[in-house]
Amino acid sequence: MERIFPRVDRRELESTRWISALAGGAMIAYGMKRGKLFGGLLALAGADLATKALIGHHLYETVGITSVTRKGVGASIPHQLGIKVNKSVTIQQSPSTIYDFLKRLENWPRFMTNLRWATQKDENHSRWIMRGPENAEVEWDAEIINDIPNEILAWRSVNCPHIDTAGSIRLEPAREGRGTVVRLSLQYLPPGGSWGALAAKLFGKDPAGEIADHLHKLKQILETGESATTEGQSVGGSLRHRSGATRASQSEA
Amino acid sequence: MKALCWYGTKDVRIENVPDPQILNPRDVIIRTTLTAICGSDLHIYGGFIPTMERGDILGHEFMGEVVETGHENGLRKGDRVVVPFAIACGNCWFCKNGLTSACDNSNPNAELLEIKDGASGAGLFGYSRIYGGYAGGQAEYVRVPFGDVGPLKIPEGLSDEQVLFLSDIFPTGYMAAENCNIQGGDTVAVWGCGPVGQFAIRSAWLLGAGRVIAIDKYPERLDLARKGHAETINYEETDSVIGTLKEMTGGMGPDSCIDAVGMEAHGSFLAEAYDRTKQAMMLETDRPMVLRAAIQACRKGGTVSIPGVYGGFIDKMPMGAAFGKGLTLKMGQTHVHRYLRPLLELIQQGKIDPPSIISHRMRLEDAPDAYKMFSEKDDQCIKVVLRP
Repeated sequence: MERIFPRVDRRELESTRWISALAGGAMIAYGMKRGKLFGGLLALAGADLATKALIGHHLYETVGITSVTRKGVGASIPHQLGIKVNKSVTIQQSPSTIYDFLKRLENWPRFMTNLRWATQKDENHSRWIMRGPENAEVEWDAEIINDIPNEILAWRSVNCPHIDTAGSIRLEPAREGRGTVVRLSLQYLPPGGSWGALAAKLFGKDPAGEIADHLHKLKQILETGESATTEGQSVGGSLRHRSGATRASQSEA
Repeated sequence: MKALCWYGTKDVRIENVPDPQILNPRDVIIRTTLTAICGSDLHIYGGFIPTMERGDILGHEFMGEVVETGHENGLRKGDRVVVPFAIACGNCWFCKNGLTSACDNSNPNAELLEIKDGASGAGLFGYSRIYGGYAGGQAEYVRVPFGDVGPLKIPEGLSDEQVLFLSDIFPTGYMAAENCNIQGGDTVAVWGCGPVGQFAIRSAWLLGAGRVIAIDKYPERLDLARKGHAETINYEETDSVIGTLKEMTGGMGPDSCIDAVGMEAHGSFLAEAYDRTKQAMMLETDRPMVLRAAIQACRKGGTVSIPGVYGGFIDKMPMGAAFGKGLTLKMGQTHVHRYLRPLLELIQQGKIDPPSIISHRMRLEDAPDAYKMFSEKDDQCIKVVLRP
């Protein structure tokens, strides 16, 4: 499951919402009619007011600018902003086996294919080096904010230049014979906020799909010891481009 | 090595390709000694299966000799094995519960299949990217993942032809008959006298049927069905298959019906014209004429068992008839692994004669001709086996 736009913040009073919405709408209409710089600014202000009325967040917040109104908030991603991905998978292993596996950072690149490596810095901090777009490397630190053995691992990013992330993995025993339910919850605030994420999705980069893929690989490794692959298998048309060793030639050698 | 590669609709070619390698610790490499073309391969040949890529190696019914193993897995070089067409890991909940064709872990492209079906089952040999894109068994060598789970060791005293069909069509026909929930003496109607239908007919008897009625139009296939002790109906020589079945069963209809035809069904002129047009216009992906007939013909409270492959969506499904008559519909990809040993025993006991359905024995190099012949039912073709 993936949510790109902020969920409606219902803390506003009903009556003020209606007033804001109407006022905002009027400002947009008048501003567009008026035109020029003043009209444009008026329309933008109206849009901000309307957005606040409709979903409880200012317009600029949907674009990822959060610090202006949310000073002093402890979470790196303010409540309900950012893209949220929830995915769960049932794995035929005990919670403790899965927890131990995840606590060892060297295991993560085995299922998180865009991770080059991760190393422990101190008890609560680790450094993560990801393969970014165009093979660029993106480095960031993760801080453990909650760690209950066999139950929860939660983290947030610090010092990340481009993106704020926070996430958690919850482990629950599934019903008899089915192992453990692994629930991944990830929130992140990419450049451009919700609109940026939408644009990225349209142009092919699908973080939710990648996350599903990673969880699938995690399950494969924990259940079977390997990750299903066909990379490097025999295929037609390839010998025109290179010469492959054949069993016949190997046995002759 | 030589392999049969797909290059487009009705375009398959024998090519020289790199030999397979061990890619994962639980892999084994098999040197193929015998392989076959399946009716479902014809869906690929005919261009009905999406996500194929030029150069993909086809084939999912194969057996041979172990030549290389990754880790310790109970197999040794030289072991003669038959390999199930669906790849099972043996560790996931589905594998552990006998539902091996629903394996969670063997499809590297599971996300693709999840979009279409809501969940992905097992990866298959030689059956398009959406089922994993695994190189298939119409080749001199095959890489078999999870070699400790799939391959069945074959004892001495049995020929390749006797056991090859354990890879797919014998368990498929058997599971189709099993899904009918046959009570002693039941009448089972089987649409489709191709290889799967032939095994379904013979399995129905083994499971206690009192009467088996088989429907097709090709004389040689109806002949073979009669050799399997079925009564036959030629649908081109009868006014109404459903009417005939009703009369044959004293007005009640068969107790269970098996659709061993699937998505490329033929039917009455109008029905076929309707469905083929919709297929061409991409408004329908599968042609369900046989499914409709099976639902109409089945007695109230009976079972329709569907081993015939369906891939996408069908039109004009008589759901009202199925509901009104309280039918049970059972279907799906065969869980081959749980049938391997019991069916091997049946072969050893002489209770079934698999090679009797083979009509053509050819070399792997002749595979492109074999596909054409099998597709057009030329030369009374029923089942082709290929020796590399």
